Amino acid sequence: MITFEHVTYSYPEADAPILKDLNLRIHDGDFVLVVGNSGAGKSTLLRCLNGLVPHFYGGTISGAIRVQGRDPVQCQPREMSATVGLVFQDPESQFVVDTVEAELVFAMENHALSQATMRKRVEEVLDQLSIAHLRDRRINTLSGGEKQRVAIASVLTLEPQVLVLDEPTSQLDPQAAEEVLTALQKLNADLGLTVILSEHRLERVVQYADRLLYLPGAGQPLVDGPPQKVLQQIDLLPPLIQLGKALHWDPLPLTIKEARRKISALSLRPDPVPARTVPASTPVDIAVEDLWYAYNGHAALKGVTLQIARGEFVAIMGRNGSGKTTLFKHLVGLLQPMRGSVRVRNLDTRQAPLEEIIEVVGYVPQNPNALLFADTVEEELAFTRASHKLTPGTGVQQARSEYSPDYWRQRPPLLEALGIAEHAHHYPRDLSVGERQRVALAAILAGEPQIILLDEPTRGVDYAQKRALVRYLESERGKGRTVLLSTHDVELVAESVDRVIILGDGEIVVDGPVREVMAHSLIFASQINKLFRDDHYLTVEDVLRSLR
Amino acid sequence: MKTARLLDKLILLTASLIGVVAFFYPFFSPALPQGPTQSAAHAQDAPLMTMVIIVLCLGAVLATLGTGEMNSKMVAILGVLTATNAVIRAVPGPAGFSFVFVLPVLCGYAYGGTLGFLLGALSILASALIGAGIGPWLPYQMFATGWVGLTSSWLPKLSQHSRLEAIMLGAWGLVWGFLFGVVMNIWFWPYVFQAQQTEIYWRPGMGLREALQHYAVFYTLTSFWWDVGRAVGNALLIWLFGAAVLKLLRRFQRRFHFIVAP
Repeated sequence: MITFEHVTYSYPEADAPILKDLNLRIHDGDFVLVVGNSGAGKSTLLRCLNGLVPHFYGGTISGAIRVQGRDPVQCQPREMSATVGLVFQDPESQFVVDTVEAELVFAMENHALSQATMRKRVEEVLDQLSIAHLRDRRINTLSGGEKQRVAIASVLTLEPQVLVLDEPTSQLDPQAAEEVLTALQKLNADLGLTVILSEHRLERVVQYADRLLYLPGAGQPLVDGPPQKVLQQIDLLPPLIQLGKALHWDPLPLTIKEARRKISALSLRPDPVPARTVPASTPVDIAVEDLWYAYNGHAALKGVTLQIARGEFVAIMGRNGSGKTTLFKHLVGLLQPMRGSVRVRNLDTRQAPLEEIIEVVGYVPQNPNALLFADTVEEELAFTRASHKLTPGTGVQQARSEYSPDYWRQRPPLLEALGIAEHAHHYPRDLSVGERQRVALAAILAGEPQIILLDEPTRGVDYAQKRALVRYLESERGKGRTVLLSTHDVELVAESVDRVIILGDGEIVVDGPVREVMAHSLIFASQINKLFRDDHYLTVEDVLRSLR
Repeated sequence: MKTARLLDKLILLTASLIGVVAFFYPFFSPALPQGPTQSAAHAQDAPLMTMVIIVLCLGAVLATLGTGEMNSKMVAILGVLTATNAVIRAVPGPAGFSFVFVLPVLCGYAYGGTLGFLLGALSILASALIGAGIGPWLPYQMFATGWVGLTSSWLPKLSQHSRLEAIMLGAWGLVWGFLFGVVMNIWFWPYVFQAQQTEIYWRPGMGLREALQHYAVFYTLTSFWWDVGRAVGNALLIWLFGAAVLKLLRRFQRRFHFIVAP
């Protein structure tokens, strides 16, 4: 049993406590889903369970926490590790050694278990997570879903009674996410392991949970209960629930299966929405011709050819490791084609110097930390502004900026649009993953690039902020900018883009308007689309508009 | 907790006393082998002295583990900073100009005397092992650099006045630039005697006043100008990088210590 009694915690130098007078009771064998807005304290709550908070974060804590009878504030995290297994948001950051089997025994070696025990437990966890075939592989050759399962296996070797996961599927493609969640469900059902996980994309997880904990943030009391009940009270809703709520279905359907029974009663008259296309005369912004690239002999891109016109809003999708990021790195000139050519606004990336390319292209990489180095969020933006004016072509840069310098100094509009204005003076690396993600976005967008490349922009970002981001990108597109997203987030794609390109094993598998692509895909389809299996309905709005 | 803190103070005090004795016992030694060069200096006892100071350093780490100043995470910081400082020492600077004192000063100031002493002593040891060279001077350098860190914790805490703080620390680096030379020369000075320059050397039986006079002349002639380089270098480096490094050090300190409110 896990209990929190009047727990209040503030990070060092925070203005207000992130957890305020928190009371909570989690029974053995529960499958608990923790949800809440980005920065509401989900990760903090999870880190309290094994003592990482406060031992590795400092700050002030009060109240009583008990996890299986132990007090994580008094114990060291190393003592808690046998009781609570914690899997981080980014599995790579918790691997210590480089092969799967060595990683699995690492924790046990540190707990000085006997060889016989270690041998037995390794076999057990390999089977529990169905990763026996990976045992001799090097970790860096694994796919995202495989890595995540190895990370889970490596904490299970200590036989914890509680398994805690911080957004375990945020970096995974839909298929890999499914694998991980099924594995968790099995552990929970077969072994009675208590599973506590946080997640933003409820559509993926909500059907597995038997309890939902909603952290409203800002010191408000939490909402706790069975998913159907909690979902009635909160506004963080996956599309299916949004639809169910709008149509007053009771009980709310958590799965497509449950919703299917309800839709036969609906009378819908599809209202054909004209596909947004750019006129044929629009200049081409990005032209990729027969692009080949290989990492150490391992082919990552195999003859990719595509054209993207000015003002298009395109999503690149595909499995983990299908070549999305490699393609993006070519578009910004970080990688150069081994064969073929890449032209961005008529700059050949093999000839044009990098400074000239980044005047035009803004690239936000997958890992936001890579971009953050200044002392405050505001300085981060100011740095981008300053360096863009200092690069060759100063006059042009100044002229094409739509805002006066004062405007930027007084009230950074980007920070407002992305909902991080309150953090303008905070140290970027102290922010939550979702907040850091948006700071990185802001830092790049501050340079007002003509072509915006976003690699997994919605990691750790909640529904409302996702909508804010889409609105911002829409308005940028309205100014004639070209936007490319690489993402696994099918709901984001359904709501925002015009065109989807699916990569598979380094080749373009599908390239077409979003409705066409989604309606003919099982994996890369939005929840609403899966429900209706009709390319008229991708989003909740599509359905509501067609109701007569 | 309280006893641990006392034990820590005791170990530091013992270490420093042993250091002082190690530097000064030759003056009281009955049959000191004096020669025209420093080759005889501490030829017999330096290995022992090195062992003693290493054991004392370990003792200080273990003793402080129970106090608030040191925990497993601070030991990790000590390790990282020691390694960094050892590598930094390999960067050659003009005329005695060396980066090696900057971190002990800043860490001693921010993290307290034990960590400062350990960082100073251990980083000299590590850098000797990775190429700066091992010789009878090693334990003396360890003590002297350790004292740089230890004494830096005595400075008043001025974190609210960043300008004043930078000036103070820079000036402190300047002072230690000379003081380090003054302290370090003693390890071999009593062993050297050249008949043509009697006024700068020591002879057994010499009075304190005369010895000090001779030492002052010796220091001014042989090390002063060299130490100017080091002192100015220290001050410049601390003025340039001190604020940024302190900010980082304090950030870690905030993260690695927490308060349990009632």
